[in-house]
Amino acid sequence: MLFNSISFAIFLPIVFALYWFVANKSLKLQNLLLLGSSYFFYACWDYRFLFLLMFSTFLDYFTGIRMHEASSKKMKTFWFWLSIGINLGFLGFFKYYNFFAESFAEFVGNFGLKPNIWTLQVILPVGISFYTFHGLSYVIDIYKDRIKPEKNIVEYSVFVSFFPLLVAGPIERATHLLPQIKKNRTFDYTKAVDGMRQILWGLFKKVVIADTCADFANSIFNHSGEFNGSTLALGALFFTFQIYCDFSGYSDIALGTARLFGIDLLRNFAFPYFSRDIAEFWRRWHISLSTWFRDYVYIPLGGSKGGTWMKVRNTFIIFLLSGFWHGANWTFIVWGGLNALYFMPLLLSKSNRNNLETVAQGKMFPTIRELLGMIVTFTLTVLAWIFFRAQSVGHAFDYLGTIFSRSLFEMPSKKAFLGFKTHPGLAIVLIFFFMIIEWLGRENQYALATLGQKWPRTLRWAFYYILIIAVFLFMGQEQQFIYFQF
Amino acid sequence: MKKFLLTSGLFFVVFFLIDKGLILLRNSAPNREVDKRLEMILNGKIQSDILIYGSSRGGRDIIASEMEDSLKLPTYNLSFPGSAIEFHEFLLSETLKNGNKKPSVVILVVDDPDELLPSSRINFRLDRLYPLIKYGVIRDKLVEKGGKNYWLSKLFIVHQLSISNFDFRPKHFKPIDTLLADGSMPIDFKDPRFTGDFITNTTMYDIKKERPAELNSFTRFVDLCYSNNIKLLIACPPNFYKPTVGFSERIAGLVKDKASILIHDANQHAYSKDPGYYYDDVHLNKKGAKLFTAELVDFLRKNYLVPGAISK
Repeated sequence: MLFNSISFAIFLPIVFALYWFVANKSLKLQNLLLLGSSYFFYACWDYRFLFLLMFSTFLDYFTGIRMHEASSKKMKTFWFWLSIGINLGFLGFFKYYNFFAESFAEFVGNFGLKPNIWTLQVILPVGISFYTFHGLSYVIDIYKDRIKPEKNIVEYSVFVSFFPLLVAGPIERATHLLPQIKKNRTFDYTKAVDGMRQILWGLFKKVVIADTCADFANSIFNHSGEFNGSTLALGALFFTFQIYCDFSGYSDIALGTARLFGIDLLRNFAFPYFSRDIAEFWRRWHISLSTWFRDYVYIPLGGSKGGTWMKVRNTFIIFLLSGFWHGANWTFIVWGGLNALYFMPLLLSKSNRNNLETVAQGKMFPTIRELLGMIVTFTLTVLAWIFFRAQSVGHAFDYLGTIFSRSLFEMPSKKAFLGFKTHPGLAIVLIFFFMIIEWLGRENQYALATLGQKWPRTLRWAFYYILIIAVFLFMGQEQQFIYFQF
Repeated sequence: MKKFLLTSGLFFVVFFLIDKGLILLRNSAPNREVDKRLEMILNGKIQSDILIYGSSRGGRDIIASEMEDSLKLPTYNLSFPGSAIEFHEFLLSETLKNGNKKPSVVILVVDDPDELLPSSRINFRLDRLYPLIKYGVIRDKLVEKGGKNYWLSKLFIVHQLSISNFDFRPKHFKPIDTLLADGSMPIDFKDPRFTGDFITNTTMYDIKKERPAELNSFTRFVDLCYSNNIKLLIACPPNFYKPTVGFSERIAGLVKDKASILIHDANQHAYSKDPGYYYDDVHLNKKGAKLFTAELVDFLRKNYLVPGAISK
């Protein structure tokens, strides 16, 4: 069940009505309803993997309690590694088995050996990377005595499986979400309206910008050998906006939906394309994953407390892991490594925490220096996305080779844009419109959070109707979100 | 909660009214189109004995009126630049419905080598369908091709619209796409990028790369003609490059005895390697199109494909 589907448009109001009109008298009932509807939501993808989700939930719930009640440090460590081992085992099997098997076969093949490696037709259970990381953070926090285990299985299960975040995050923390699940929730008009607004903006990003850009990006990346440098540069630009609007659009819908149920989820994006350097970009892109790696990998490895070598090593580790988290493909690993390389000058010159505030805070326009910083960072990001999108590392290098050739200065090929419902010129106009709205709202949680709040209702509603009409105009077949595959 | 329900209720009522008002916009869209051929098919206005389907090669390389004058049979060109076999199959199946005259001969112009392969040059031309969404069959096709959502298009007029509905500028043809009354689009000038050097490099046709959707559409196109007793001529017009090795054999293998095939042989026609007859390396100019049309007429006559025609 996709957020941008008819089935979700029916599912959400039903759950909303039951939650506030039937189950509103009892927190226990509300949580049971959320759990039941979350399992139903997940089963709509593939009911077989629902049992995997339930098992993973029960495993972390059970080992969490066992760790806390362990009579010795040895037993505590045993339960900890049991949970970590099984969680990572599932993730490794479903997501990485074929990658490792094929890479091993290729490696030994270089020495003239031909091993008989079994590759399996493994289907990736949707959301496994997200709910596994949920569980891991919970278990690690208990092991480190940061939190106490949750004794109520229903409340713990809602924490893992709450449907808005189940398939593509944000990756929540027990310290943030569990207290909200345990607390009585009353209907808040402002929060609900805010949620609706965020859902609308998320849908606009996904349906209007991401899916439109996807048509062009796919056409260009899939036939990159046929096009000149300027066309490929446009393809990379379209993908840059596709991936941002796809994933941040999803996150906006997830956060908005959760607000309708009185729950605040972690923010996942903070206008990353307005970043002035790569360090700032990574503080603003997929925040829940970046902070997860920071708290559970980077800091335990020593973080930036050690010498220069340790900082460099740790930075490379988290970027490579972050790349590998996205998928079993060398393209993601190279993408992660490239971002680590981008990060190095800032790390070595100790300027990676220079830009902590929002760009041009309290002002309409950035300074020339800020603008240059944004342009350079954006360009570096676009180049890195080529590796993320390419079919193989070789494909990415060929793609880059064509961009950095004389053909970059030729007119883009019309063939790449033939037959789509949207003219590429219009797509560029839409991207500009989108970026202006994002710029105006960059100091808020999301772009529409306060935009138009002081306008007369007629004008404000007219603006919302324009966004809705755009969503209806551009919506075609329900399009998958990119991050569902991770 | 009461305030929330009232406000959202009012919001959706206003939206409902706006949506229903958009029906005027939807119904006026076809009137602004300059290429009316698809709408003619839907309204049963195609009354020709010979119909030509294909991509830009079909549109530019064959002049329907010249063929009509030679054969004394009404001829119409339904070729759309950039269109693929799936689109041609859709046009043919719609032509055979809606009260159009059943043609006695269909000419399908194939693209060497892109006809059945993945290509960025030809596709379904959904853009030709969007302005005509007021027609149910078009709506269903757009849903099938993923351009629209079934339920949303049933429930909301706004979902039936596209960006082109909001473009009120008068539409006009580009010089390269100027459409004649017979549906053909011959070109009088030359592409400035066309060097005039005959391309002698050639490639091997790779059956493994064929796309199942295109392959199925091609087979269905042939079968549609066969089952409706329509004589089908598959034509491969001249190109300013050596033909792909194995392409014509593959096409012949697919049609078997259900159609006639005319693969232009550059060695038998003096104009084939003369750049003066080309717009670019894949399209003839008007002068070349006249010669290729004559070649087709000759073939139709010699092979008794045209009713009442005699062999010269």
